[in-house]
Amino acid sequence: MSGAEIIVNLAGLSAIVWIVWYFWLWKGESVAAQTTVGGVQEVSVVVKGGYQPSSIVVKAHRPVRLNFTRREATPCGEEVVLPGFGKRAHLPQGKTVPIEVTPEKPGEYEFTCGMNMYRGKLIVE
Amino acid sequence: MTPLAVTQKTEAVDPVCGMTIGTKNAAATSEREGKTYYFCSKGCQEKFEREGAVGEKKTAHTKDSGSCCGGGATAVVVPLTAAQPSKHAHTEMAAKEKAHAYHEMRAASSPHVPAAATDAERAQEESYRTMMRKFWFAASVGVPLTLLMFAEFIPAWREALMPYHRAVSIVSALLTLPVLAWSGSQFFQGAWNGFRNHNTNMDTLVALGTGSAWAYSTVVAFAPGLFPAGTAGMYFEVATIVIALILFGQALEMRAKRRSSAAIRKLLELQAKTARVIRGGRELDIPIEEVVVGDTVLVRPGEKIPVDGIILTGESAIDESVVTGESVPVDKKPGDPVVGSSVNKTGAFTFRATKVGRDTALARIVEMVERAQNSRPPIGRLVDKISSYFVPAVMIIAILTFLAWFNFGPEPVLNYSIVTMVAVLVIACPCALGLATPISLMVGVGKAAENRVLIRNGEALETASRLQTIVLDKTGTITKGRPELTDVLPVGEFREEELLGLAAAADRRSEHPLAEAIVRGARARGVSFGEPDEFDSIPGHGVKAVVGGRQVFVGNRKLMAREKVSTAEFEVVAARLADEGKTPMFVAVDGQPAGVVGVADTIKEDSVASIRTLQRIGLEVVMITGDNERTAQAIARQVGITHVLADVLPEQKASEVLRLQKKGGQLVGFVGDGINDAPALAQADIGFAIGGGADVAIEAADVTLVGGSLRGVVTAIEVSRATLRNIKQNLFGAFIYNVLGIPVAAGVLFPVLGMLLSPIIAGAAMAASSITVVTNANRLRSFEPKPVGEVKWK
Repeated sequence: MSGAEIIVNLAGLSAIVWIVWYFWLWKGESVAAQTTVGGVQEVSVVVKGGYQPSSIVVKAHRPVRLNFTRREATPCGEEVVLPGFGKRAHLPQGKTVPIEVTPEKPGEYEFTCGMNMYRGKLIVE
Repeated sequence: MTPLAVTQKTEAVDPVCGMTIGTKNAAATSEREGKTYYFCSKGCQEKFEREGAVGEKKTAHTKDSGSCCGGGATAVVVPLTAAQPSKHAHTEMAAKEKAHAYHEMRAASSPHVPAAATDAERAQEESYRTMMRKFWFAASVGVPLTLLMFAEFIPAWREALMPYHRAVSIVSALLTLPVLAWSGSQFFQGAWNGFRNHNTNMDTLVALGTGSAWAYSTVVAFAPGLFPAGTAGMYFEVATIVIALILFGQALEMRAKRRSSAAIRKLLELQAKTARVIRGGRELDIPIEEVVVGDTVLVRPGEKIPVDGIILTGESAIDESVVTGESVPVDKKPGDPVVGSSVNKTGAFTFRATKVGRDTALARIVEMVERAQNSRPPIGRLVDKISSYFVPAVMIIAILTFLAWFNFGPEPVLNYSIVTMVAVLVIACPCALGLATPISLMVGVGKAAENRVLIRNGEALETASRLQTIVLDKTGTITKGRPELTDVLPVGEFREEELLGLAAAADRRSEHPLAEAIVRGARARGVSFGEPDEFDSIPGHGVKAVVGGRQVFVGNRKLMAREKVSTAEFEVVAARLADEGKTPMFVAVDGQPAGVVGVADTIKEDSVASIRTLQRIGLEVVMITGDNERTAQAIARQVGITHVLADVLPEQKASEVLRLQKKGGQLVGFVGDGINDAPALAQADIGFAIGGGADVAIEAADVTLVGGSLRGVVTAIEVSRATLRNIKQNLFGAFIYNVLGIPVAAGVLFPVLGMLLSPIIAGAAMAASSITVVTNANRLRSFEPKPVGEVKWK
């Protein structure tokens, strides 16, 4: 094996290690919802290649308002689905679309894009 | 399991931005003209205090007013005029109680107004057109480049081009760049956005594949000297054609997806578009969204009834098949309820609107169907897990493929390594996996709704498809739930008509259901009868009456004993009637036995055929009833059920269901009336509520049968099974596609067959795979419930 070949192989293997670390092992930070005057737990979620933030911590039995704003042209994120609540909304680019749910049971509720490629979760405590 | 009605009362619509909020959680409230308004934020309230509700302007759109909340309540632009009734209506309304206020306002935020649909559709149409433009651009660059590549294979052409090789390469590189930058921009942007979020998606793979093909080729074009002889291949056509194909695939998919949501659109088309209301003494034609609770609405023959309400004046026959499935028009008089979207057949009438906008029966059906379409059945959960690991896994496989060819492949290694890596990246299709379940569910649930079967969610659909036992409540489910005259059996010299006429006249003033059944039966048979001269009702016994000077007794055995009429002549027929599950009513005229009339709760027309079909498709059918064993068995025999649970008190039904579930761990469905049988419906794995009229969206049930017929159970199970099969086909197809496609693209067949997959073919396959999934799901749209009795499969 020549020096160039060794370098290519090492580069490939380190790329694999990096992919595992960057995409699989990365844990995003979770954000706690802010409670408004009226008792609604409110969070703004930016849709851009995923959900920012992607983990949202809320309290059970209280209404939650997720304000989704899609800031990208790709149609991937144009729909957001909350399967646990049977809600789906179309997200026009640049517009904020509020979705309201009231989680009754503690647990984790996912929200995803229409094709399930973007994923976020609502952690209900 | 909160009933819809209850949750609704705790919500209100912010009159400024149109957002639906819980009244308890409103950030602010305002009182005005005796009404309470709720706001999502202080900003909205301040705007309201300053400028009034948006609805007070002529027609406002949420987007004009959304400064406080950024946008509309939903993704749609909603006319808000109904938020504040017009001046005329307002005066009328002012007296009404507060509770009505937000009901009207809720109408404004209905997502089901036509304007909303067209807006979303317009946006979709626009992105479809952009996508097609991008496709044409990519194709117009890609096709000549492909031809150029083919030219390389023809020796004469290759020689002719030789002197210009360098120039051609550089021009190709430059031409390809705008294709990537414009046509492919969404992939690169999507990939980059995802990357920054530690996220991967479809775009990541396309961007990596086409990007690496382009980057490698460009370096080769500008600096061929860097590469060992023979490895300087270029793949500009790969990058452009793959982008073109995937764009084309996505555009087609978008088209096909639109078709799959057709069911909801069909339901909405049932709605009337306008309503004629009487406000301030004037007739006004207004859009249906502007009708408010309390409006007096005028309906002429042949018109659709716009909203739900109660008839004030006039009479008519109304075709309510939209919510009851009953095609025979129903006669309605003042005080009777009417349901929006049903058709007025004969007379003109006015009614008072009681439910508008989102609260109408039809709107609730639509809402229920939409919710179900967006839920996720358990079968999809494994796929969700897989798809979250999918893209990084494909990236790793692509690198491994590259290294394998690099280390062990034939010369020129670099070319093979690049081609196979790009093919792997491009062929993998997480979209097909991600789409497989939701798209079929959407079509299946919609199809069920078209057939008047409302399935609550994906889980209910999946469970319904696997039911083994189905328990049918007798009264109101198998039978019509009200007694009808079945037999008229005279004794002695009495004729049938005479006997029935006397009995009907005697019973005419009685309000007992059995007496009413006799009167109805006599009318239906065209027997004429007069008024009784004297009438006396004896509770628990029957009636005593004088008809045309003759003393008539109609009642049970106790009445005959009390009046000392011999029942000896009745005994044989009475016993036979009882055996058939009927109630014998004895008739005596002038103290002498005259005959027996049989009254029974009769079986619905299609119960027998539906039950037979359920049995044929492999379900064990059980009948449950509070009746005694003898009556129960009589009905069961007629409908072909052998397993009967009789003498079951209403509150024991749930525990009987539980017992069946425990016995052999069976999945048990229960079919019954939504109100009385709620505990059993909830206990069953799938509760089928027989509904109709305005109570269509029954919340305790997993499945609501709008038609009220058992045929709906057959349809529900058929649709569920067909949908589940479709989902499995999709998942299998998508899974197999990736499992086979990725290794082939990586070149596993090369050592054996010398075969390599061109990245162009890989791109085409990828585009085809997601179209296939959507197309297969759309196949479900051709599902027709087979006439009961003819179901073949399983």
